[in-house]
This record gives sequence, structure tokens and C-alpha cells, in this order.
Amino acid sequence: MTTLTDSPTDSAPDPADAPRPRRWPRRLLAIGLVLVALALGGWLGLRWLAPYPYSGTVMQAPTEAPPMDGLVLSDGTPVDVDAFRGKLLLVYFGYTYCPDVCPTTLSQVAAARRQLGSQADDVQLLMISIDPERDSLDMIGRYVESFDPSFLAATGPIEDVERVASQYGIYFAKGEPLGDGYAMDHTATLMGIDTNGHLRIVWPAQLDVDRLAADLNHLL
Amino acid sequence: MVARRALATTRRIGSAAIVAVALVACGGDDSSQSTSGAVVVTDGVEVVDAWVRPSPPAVESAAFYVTLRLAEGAAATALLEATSDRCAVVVPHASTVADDGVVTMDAALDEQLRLTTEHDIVMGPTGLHLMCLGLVEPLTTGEIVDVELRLAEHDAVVVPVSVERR
Repeated sequence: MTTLTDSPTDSAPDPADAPRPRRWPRRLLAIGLVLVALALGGWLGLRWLAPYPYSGTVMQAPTEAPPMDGLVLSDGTPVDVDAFRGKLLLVYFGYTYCPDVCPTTLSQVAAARRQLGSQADDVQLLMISIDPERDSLDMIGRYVESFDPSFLAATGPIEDVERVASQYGIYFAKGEPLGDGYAMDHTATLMGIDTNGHLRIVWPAQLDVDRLAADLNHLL
Repeated sequence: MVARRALATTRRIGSAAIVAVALVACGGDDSSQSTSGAVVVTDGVEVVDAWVRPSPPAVESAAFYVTLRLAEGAAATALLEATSDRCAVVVPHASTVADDGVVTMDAALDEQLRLTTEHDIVMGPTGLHLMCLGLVEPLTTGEIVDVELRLAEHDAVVVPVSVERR
């Protein structure tokens, strides 16, 4: 058996052979570096190419947000969806007698907005009351402002609210009797209309504040 | 954990009195507990994390969120009724989100209000809650509201519910 160190004589190793064993580690190092660079490049490329993972459902073909004819803001002015262009408009259909779900969503949107810092001004929440029978304009205005002073609220005659809600894919109906009143069954999703006025994303009723804030940041 | 041991000692003394321990004493090592909530123990029933949102202007309803846990070896029970001086009526309710995003609210089912060592009663937003109807006066951030819980085979528990924004 012959190995490099198994020299038949005690003479000094041939100077031509000596560097050879060191060449392999260098080559291995070079190959390793290339592989690491390729892996890193691939990972970065995939990250760059992969779609951003929104926590809401993104519309494949965003369409122009339906108008809200007949609805008025709490200050009495008609709602003009186009007037919100340039801002990210979040639309939520709720009602003030809603003790659990609506305050939860509004609190979460307020919290997500706070996370945006100076960009928060570009996010506008609009709650449409689906219970105009009990919700006066004054009530809905003060209601949403208690969550975030920037929040807006609107409602209108029930026929108009029903038409607008259905155009936004929202279902609502009187539900369980509650004390002297009633609860409303309703689609409690949050809708995002992008800065170009397109209905772009729908978030589920159960939101994650950090992910919502990240989504809003990404949409702006 | 010091607080837990203190509670266990209190139970051993056999006091039926309600013991409220600020969770600050827990050193914040249990993230499932609110830093501003309280642990109330009576007769083996522990009330953890009781809170309610401040009520918006002109709103006459609210949702109290109270999580109940049973101490090791305590007899199984059930939440029968809740009352508060601040509400005309308090009803255990549950919000349910369907796959299509429609939320409905109904009276809580008996099985949701069952309390055993294996089954805690966990309340939270868009889920199980104690619905307060006919709010007598607005709930303001920072105040503590008493809610009395009547439990099967147990003494009534007065839970200090913290009004806070979450």
C-alpha cells in the first residue's frame, strides 16, 4: 500500500507533490462557496418572486368598488367612494348595538393603523351601519370615533343599505332577539379598496392585528 | 408561581372569601393571563383574565370576557347565571363565524358553560362572552366592574372585570 507519507526513503518529499494535498481543500472551499452563493441567491430570488402572503383574500381581478348611492356620512354628506381615491379605504358593515364582533374588528383596525405610524393617514376606515332602524347618523359617527377619531361611518334608507351591501357581497338579516331588541346576523369581513378605487382584498372576521398592519403597509 | 402557591395556601385555609391577586405578582411569566386582570379563587374555581371594552357613546350593550378554570381536584360545575349592577341583564352568548364569514350570535350552549378540570370556560372576542344588555352607565377605561357569577354546587363568585382597550 502506498500513501503520500509512505515514502520508501527518508528523503524530503518531492517539492512538486507537496502542494497537491492542499489543493483539494481549496477546491472544496471554492465549491462550497459557490453552492452557498447559489443557495442564497435562490432563496433571495424565491423571496423576491414569491407573492406577498396576505392574511386576507386578494381578488384575482380587482374591480372598481361599487358606488354607495343613497348612503350618507354621519355629517350628512353623501358617500362618494371615488373621493377616497389615493387612500386605502377599509369598508366594514356593522352596527352599534353589536357588542362583540364589531367592536373587536374596529379595535383591531385602530390598533393596526397605530402600527403604521405616519402612513396611518393613508388608511381610512368606513363603517356602514346595516341597522339604520336603530342607528342614527349622530350615533354611528360618535360610535366609530370612539375607536379611532379618523374613522367614518355612514348609513341610509334600508333599501339603499341592502343594495350596497349586496353589491359588496355582504349578507345581513335580523337575528336572535336580544332583550327588547335584536341582534343582526351579518357578514363580518373587512374589505380593502386600494388607492386606485379597486376592491382588492377581503379579510376574514377574525383578524390578526400584526398581519393586518403588514398587509396595509404592503398595499400602500 | 409565588402567587399560585399563595392562592393554594389560601384555599387550604378554607376561606370562601374571594381572593384577588394582581398578576403583577406572577412576574408576567404566563402570557395567557392579562397583566391587568385578576385571579379570583373560591371553592376551587379560578377566574382568570376578566375584561371588557370601554363602551362607545350611546351604546347600551357590552361583552364581558371571563375565563374560568377549575383547580386540581375541585368538583365539576357549570356557569348558570351572571349578573351585574351595571347591566339590566347579563346573558352568556356565543358569536359564531360561518365559513362564508357570516357571524351569528346565540345563547351559549350548556356544554360551552360546563367547567371541569379538563374543560375550562374560555371567553374571548368573536366567541363566547357574557353579553351585558341595558348598560346602566358607560364603561370607562381603567375602572373595575363587578360581575357576579352563579355556579352549580359552588358559592357565587364576584369577579372584578377590568375595563380596558384591547
